[in-house]
Amino acid sequence: MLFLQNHDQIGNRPFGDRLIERVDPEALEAAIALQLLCPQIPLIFMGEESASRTPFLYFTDHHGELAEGRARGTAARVRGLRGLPAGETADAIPDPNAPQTFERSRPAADGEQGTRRRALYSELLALRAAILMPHLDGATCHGRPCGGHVQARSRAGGWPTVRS
Amino acid sequence: MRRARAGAVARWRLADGSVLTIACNLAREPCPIERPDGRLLFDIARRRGRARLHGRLERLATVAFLEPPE
Repeated sequence: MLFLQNHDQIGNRPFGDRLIERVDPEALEAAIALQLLCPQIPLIFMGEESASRTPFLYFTDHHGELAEGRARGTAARVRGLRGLPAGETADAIPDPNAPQTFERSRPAADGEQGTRRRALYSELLALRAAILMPHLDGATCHGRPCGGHVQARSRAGGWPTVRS
Repeated sequence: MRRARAGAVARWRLADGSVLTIACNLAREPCPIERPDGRLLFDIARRRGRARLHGRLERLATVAFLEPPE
């Protein structure tokens, strides 16, 4: 499974911001092309295909003691958070159990980039379906089954290290 | 797999014997690349109206090639 972001990464950020808020749009497009043309199964997180900027907040549907315990636990957890965006405090983090926190997480297409991003996904998925998919079963990398993994690391200001 | 300053090239042999090559450059400057064999499957620079692949891979770009079975 190959993904650029998932619910764990986005939902565990204090304000649920997606990759689109953090990287150059062209870098994201290059990464999308890499993801969708690699043999691995792509996981597209809801809203990615339309360049959604809607935050995916951490939300829950707890009741009674569990809700109270969760609220206390969340409050304790956020008090220890560092690296909040400038001007933000832990008090501004949405209440996970509030219905509006869930409602605010419904992805909407981005007005500026949405159409272009959908076209990119459509083109890449069509290529994948027509040309790659029929031949992926039994594909190999470096002469080994694709079940092996590739690990990529990078250092700020240095050369990236790629291991297979 | 080969690596450059911020780019990487990976190849897979597909079940029919064809070879899929993907090169990705996530740096803000172009990086040198030897044109892979096979036909161009996808080049994101084309979508952006930029120069095609001529010995270098554009900044923030991905290209894919498919070499037919021998």
